[in-house]
Amino acid sequence: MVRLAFNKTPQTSAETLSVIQSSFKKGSEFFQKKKLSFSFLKEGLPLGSLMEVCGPAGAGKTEVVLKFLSEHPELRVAWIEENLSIYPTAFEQNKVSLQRVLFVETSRYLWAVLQILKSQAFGIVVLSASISNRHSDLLDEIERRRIQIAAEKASASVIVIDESTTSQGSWPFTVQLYVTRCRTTGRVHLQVLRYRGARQWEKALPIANGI
Amino acid sequence: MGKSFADRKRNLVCFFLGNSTLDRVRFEALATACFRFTPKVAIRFPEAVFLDIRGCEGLFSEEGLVLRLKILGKRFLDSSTFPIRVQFAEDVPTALALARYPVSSVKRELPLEALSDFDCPFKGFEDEKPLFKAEDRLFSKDFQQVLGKLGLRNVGDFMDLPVKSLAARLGKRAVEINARLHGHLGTPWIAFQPQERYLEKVALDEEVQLESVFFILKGVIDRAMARLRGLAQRANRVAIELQVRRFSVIRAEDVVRRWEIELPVPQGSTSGLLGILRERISFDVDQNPFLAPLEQVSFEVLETIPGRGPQLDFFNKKEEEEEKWNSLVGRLIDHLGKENVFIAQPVHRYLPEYSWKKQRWQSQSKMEDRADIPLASRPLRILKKPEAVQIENRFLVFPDGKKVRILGFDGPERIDSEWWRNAEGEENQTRDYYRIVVGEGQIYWVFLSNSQIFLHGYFD
Repeated sequence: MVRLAFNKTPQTSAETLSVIQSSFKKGSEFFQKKKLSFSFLKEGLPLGSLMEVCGPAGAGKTEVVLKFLSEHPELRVAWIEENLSIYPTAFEQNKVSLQRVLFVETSRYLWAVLQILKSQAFGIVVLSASISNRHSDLLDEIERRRIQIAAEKASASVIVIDESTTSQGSWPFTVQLYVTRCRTTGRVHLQVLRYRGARQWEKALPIANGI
Repeated sequence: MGKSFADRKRNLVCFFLGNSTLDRVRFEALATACFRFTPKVAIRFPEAVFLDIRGCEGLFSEEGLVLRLKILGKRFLDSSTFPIRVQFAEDVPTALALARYPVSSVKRELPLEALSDFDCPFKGFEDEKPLFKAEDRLFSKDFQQVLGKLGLRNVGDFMDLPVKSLAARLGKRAVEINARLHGHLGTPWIAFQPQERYLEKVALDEEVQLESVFFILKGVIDRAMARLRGLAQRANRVAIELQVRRFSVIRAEDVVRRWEIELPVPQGSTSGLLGILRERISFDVDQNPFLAPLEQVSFEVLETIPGRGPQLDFFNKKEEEEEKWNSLVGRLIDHLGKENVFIAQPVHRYLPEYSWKKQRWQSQSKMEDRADIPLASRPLRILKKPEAVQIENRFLVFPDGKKVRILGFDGPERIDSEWWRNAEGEENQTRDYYRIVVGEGQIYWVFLSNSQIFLHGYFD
């Protein structure tokens, strides 16, 4: 990482930006394209599971989920948010075909999730907190349990993306992942907070692994 | 594989319902549903539907068609006490007679009563407009007794009568029947014209709950969908009316409650349509309950659009899944609005906010080709409206005063708005996009435009 050097105090943001630009070396390690060095959930998620991906803003939660979706092109995806902030163009860049993703923007996300699971038309339902609403719990305990039962009946998996971590003892979650990004290398690190089940992939997913 | 009837010339099918109590509307709905098998359909109300399957023989096996017709019949008949028979023959009267008198599979062994079917196969004496009056019935019981005294026991004996003396003894119609029996005279085909309008009413004899109404509606919708499928149509707009008993305390305008529903995705399946209706009606009735017991339910398809029903593939569930999608998307759109349920479609535009558009869900086979625009890395989260920010020394400053330390950045990537769209009222913009690393390693996507910096997205 290149540290910035200011010889004089810039007057405007644009000037500051130009100073920053001149201080920065192109091709920094941080922005180099990195391939996923792990086979994230290649075996898939347990059917009927509820999974939480949490971590601070910009840590790479959505990136992790898209990586999973790109590894399973056969799954249809329903993406639900209250105020949609996801950028669909980036899906294609992350090798997730938009033709298999249905976007739903609603504040009644519990109703929408249950309807979608009931239809049995989707293998994955992603419920994502919006940028503007990431500091409150997306679902309470009863809602999580309702979703988990519906997912079990539909043999589908639900992924919840949220900034704040639900308490580790929240039993409806089968998997809880905590995502952070290294401030020097930009690599995404995963930490398994909770895993309930008897699958092998837990061993294949080290606590600190990077993108 | 089942038997094919292509080589047997048994191309006429009689779908015999016996003395069913079907009313005219429902009977015609059943006949309309039969259009899925062949475009040539005729009826003899209320007993039989005839299908001319010449040209369609390769589509079905004999056993398969019998099974399908029997299943279809059960959807339209309230009771299973009426025998449903399917008979194949080389012409209409033979198929009808063999279906009516199942004691024999040979025309010659049919009883003498069967001759009336050869007289006028498409119209019975019970028909609204019979070809002959009941008193002109040629083969009355008395007449059959006369034939019996002459030593005739069955149709075969009648066929053996000398044609020359037949006219003198029994009249012109007997000659015609004899010619039909020998296959010398064809039967003019009276094609069935389906009604344009589909409306069915069901009277409720006893007091029922709303949930029971949906049970009744399921049967009604099932028949409507079968009929639409026969005509290669899908329901686009439907209406439901629930009528309560007229009590003195109920205002006239509250007696009939009507829902006209424009379906977001045209529906071709009962489960899909019923789900949408259930949601809508339950919600309204919860808000505003009925003041008296329900008396009548009516269902009408107001508008249809062409939509051929998918041919179910035993080894591929694509069509089945598409039906599930249709049904789900219909329900979601009905509740959440068209703007909030969509599929994203990339478009050839450079400005990030215009680089995709919402697309109403449609069959995947009808999807447009996606736009392939080579792009530099794009953030996964984008703000609907870029937010003005400041850069002060080494900090990114948000409008609310929050500061995050800048660790480094990458860029710029210059994006120009399309100059040829200026005429459409769009402002010409040049943006220099940067990826800025801040705080704990988060990456923001900002752009510089007209000496102002805007936050536009996050790499999440």
